[in-house]
Amino acid sequence: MMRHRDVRNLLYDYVQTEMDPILKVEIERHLAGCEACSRDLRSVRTVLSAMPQEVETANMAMDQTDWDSLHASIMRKIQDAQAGSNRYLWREIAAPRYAIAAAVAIAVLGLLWFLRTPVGDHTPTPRETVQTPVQEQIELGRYFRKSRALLTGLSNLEPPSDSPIDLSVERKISRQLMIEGRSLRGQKLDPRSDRLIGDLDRIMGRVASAPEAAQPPDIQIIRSDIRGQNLLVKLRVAETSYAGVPHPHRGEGL
Amino acid sequence: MTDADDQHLLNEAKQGNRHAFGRLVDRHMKRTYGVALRFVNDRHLAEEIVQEAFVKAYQAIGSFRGEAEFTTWLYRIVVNLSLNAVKANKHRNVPLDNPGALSLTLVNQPAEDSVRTDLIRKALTDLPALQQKVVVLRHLEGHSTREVSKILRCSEGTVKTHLFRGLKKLRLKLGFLREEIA
Repeated sequence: MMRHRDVRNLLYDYVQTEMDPILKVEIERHLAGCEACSRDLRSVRTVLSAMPQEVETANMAMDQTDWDSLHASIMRKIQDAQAGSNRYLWREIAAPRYAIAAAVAIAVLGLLWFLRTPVGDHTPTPRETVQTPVQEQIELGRYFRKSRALLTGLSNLEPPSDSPIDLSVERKISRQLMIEGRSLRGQKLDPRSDRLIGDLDRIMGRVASAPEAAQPPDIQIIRSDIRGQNLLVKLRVAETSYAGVPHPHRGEGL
Repeated sequence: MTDADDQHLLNEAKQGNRHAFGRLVDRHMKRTYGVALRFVNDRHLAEEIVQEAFVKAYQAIGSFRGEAEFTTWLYRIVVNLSLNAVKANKHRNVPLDNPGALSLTLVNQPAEDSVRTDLIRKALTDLPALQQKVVVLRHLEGHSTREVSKILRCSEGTVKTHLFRGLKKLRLKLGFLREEIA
């Protein structure tokens, strides 16, 4: 005869799974004489019969845009966490002699960078030449064009002074562009494009997280961000770079 | 989606390939969101938990030795974060009569069944942590007891014991079931 404690440890299996016939008989013999175990068994069977019979993931009401946005948020947080770790690591290893050496190195590099950018020379030097492969250039150009179209539209928005404005389309586009931008940044890009995509990512994030029915002040903040960072000019320059046309400006602001 | 594909991406991610980790996020994001949502019943909180879980996973990926499947390891992180959130936000549990309450609705589920499911979900939050974990993972997420034991790092016997106890407690909490007991 099985012990009470041993039977209780097997009751879940008895309810759920196929059991060794000999063991099953032992359990049933025990149940015939144990009201507590029988009662508990009935309770568990009843609850199991009330449980959802089909396992379905509990993520209703999330469309593909929502999933894309969540994915982008996750990757952004990972990037931010990495940046934080790198800053921490820097603090850990910094010692006065390293700090002095680093300051000297930065000063030298800064001077070299300043000297490599000739004033009034519109022809890209070999070091300014975009190094990315052709396909990436095409993708970059497309990304910059779409970004400029979105930001131009936002800049030209003239919301009525007291009514909200529907930004649902802009939000959707900006989320998509954030995903594209981050994908591009995952590849090897020239530093200017990488920086510009970073600037665009921040403004896109602001648009993506704006309320669907945005108030005029929300729009004003976005527009002043676009203006303040000179993004439309930078985008025009970047687009012409990737269209293979020598740009009229000296990489202004890039 | 195979475990071998996960393993390949994991190896790449361990080398610092963030794009490979992004692919892992893509593969497992929906399922982990579902797990978190079952525990916290709050869409925004579930999103935060999923984000935090993947950040933690990325930060710890160098030390992941592969003794468990990647999914097992990931679900473990999500379950722990979810229960921490439940404890911290117990006051945020949405009352069932709130029209905004998120229900664990199933495809083509009749309205009365969705009410029962809501009641089960509410009762689950009152269970002790381990019982809640095993019941959600086994009976709402559909993992086998073996998978649950790996996620929670305990024996299968422990899982089954707590399943039985948790289900028994649920019966006491679910008034609509009382009439069905002979």
